[in-house]
Amino acid sequence: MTQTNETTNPMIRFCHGTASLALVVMMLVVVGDVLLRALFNHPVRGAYDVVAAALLIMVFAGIAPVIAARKEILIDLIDPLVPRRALQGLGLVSTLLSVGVFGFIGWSMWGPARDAYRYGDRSLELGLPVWVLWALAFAGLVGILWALALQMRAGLRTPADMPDEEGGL
Amino acid sequence: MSGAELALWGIGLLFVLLFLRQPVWLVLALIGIGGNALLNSVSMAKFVTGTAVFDTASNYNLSVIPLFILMGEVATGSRMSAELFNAARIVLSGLRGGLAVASLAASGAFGAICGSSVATAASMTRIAMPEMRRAGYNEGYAASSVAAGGSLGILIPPSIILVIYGSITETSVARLFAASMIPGLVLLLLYVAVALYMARGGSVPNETSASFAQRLKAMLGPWQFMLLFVLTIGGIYTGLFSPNEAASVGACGAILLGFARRSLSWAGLIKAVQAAVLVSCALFMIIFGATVFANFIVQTRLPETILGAAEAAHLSPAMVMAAIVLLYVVLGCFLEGIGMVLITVPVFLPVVQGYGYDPIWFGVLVAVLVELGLITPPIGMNLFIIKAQIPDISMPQLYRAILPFLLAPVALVALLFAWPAIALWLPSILY
Repeated sequence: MTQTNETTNPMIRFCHGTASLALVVMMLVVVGDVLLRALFNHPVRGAYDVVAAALLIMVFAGIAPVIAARKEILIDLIDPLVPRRALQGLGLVSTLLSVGVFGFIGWSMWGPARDAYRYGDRSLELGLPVWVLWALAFAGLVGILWALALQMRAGLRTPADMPDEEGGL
Repeated sequence: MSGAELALWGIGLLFVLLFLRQPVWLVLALIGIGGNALLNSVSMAKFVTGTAVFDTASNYNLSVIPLFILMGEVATGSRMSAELFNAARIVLSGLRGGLAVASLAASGAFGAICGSSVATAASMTRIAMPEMRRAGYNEGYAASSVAAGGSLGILIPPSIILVIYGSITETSVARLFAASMIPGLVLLLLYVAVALYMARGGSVPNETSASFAQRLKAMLGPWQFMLLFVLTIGGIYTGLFSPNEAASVGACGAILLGFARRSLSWAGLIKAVQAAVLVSCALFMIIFGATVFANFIVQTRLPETILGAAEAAHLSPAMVMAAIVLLYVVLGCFLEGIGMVLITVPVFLPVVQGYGYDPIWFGVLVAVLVELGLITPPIGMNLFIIKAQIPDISMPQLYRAILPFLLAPVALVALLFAWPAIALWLPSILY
């Protein structure tokens, strides 16, 4: 992965580290659950809730570094056909549209998050308050908007990079 | 404007935006949100978007995606692919075109613990291409065998494409993994047949043969790969693990084996975890967009309209399926795999089911067609991966050399239609 100013930004590194930690926690909790069940017939209590929460943290914290590293999956068929200035313009359009869509997502999440807080929704196994998970998702959205701001600043300065067409799959 | 017309306009706009270099997740989300707002109301679009994003990100069953990706990243970082190739090279020595066949066999085996075609093609290019060049293989032949082998990672379980297909169609991932195993092996054999046939044409020199003892020793070499495969896929097939558990145990096992064999360092592990986060989250962004988009498509009743039109035109199931396959082949020339699956499956699956086809079988068919798209010119992703790592190979040379290998997935599609049991037999006896 090419290290750019955006990926080395402290906020982005914090988000990437948090997402990585969540992934490791997810793996260890499931492995612990499997081992304890096999050896002592005693599963990890709340493994389901922890994995679901860790996945949510990984996803919402992990999107910011994806945007900062320009690892979003796109089709770059027109790259050889248009000047780099035009590619830069299209990159800026996608950043602006992304701000709009993530803004809409945040607006859409507000209602169900408020309901979860108001009605005291809790998770199935551990009884964790669900509004905490919504709050973590909103914290991730702040990181995402920050990454988009960095991407916009970089896009105004330099022509668009060539991201991975298939995002590594 | 009817719902179906709105959906068709939306799909048209979707392709325009995709070709204007807009990220796949963004295009899907824009069309999904905008379409929903036009069809119903902004508050309905808000309701669908907010809950879809949160529910997707906290869906326990989807944790299988980052965990299998982590297993693949660790396996790539701890050089398991190199050991597999070396073992296959010795076992197949003396065979004309043996290095190309070894590259295909190692790719198939690596795909069984990696799940990523790009990772498989990239690592095999680094490992197998220098060996084949040293041995005097024709460059186009060598590169096309690596490109074809790399595509096997999509079909042989654990396949990320099939996990995503399972999540959007609510079909069992374990059944999909069982269904794709035999087609994956058949495709590997078809690729080997093509490679051996092409080797007869003078593309490769004669090679020296290893002794039986050397071959036996080489076969036992990559024991850690066999252990991982038995643990993960064997665990799923025997019902010992759910796919999530198998992915976690596989990822953890790959890390422990990497450390035990000193082929993985702490820095390597951190790099693998960070890379797994980036790949997984890029996929989750597309799944967010696809969930909103699929909701819009379902509400427009486009699939039912297509089904009704096909029935009214008295099209036979074979004709409808032929049209769908043809569309996938055309789209596969231009679109990347995951995006293609997420855009098309919500539209086509109800039609396919309406004609009585099994959704598990259709999942395998879609995976084969995505695989075909990975090596089909002009936008075969695996060809670009090879070109990026070996710049002195020309694209026209690669395009010419890959053509015979395209016959293998085409033949597998024909076999899947002729004998659906190739895909459906194993899940029927396991579950």
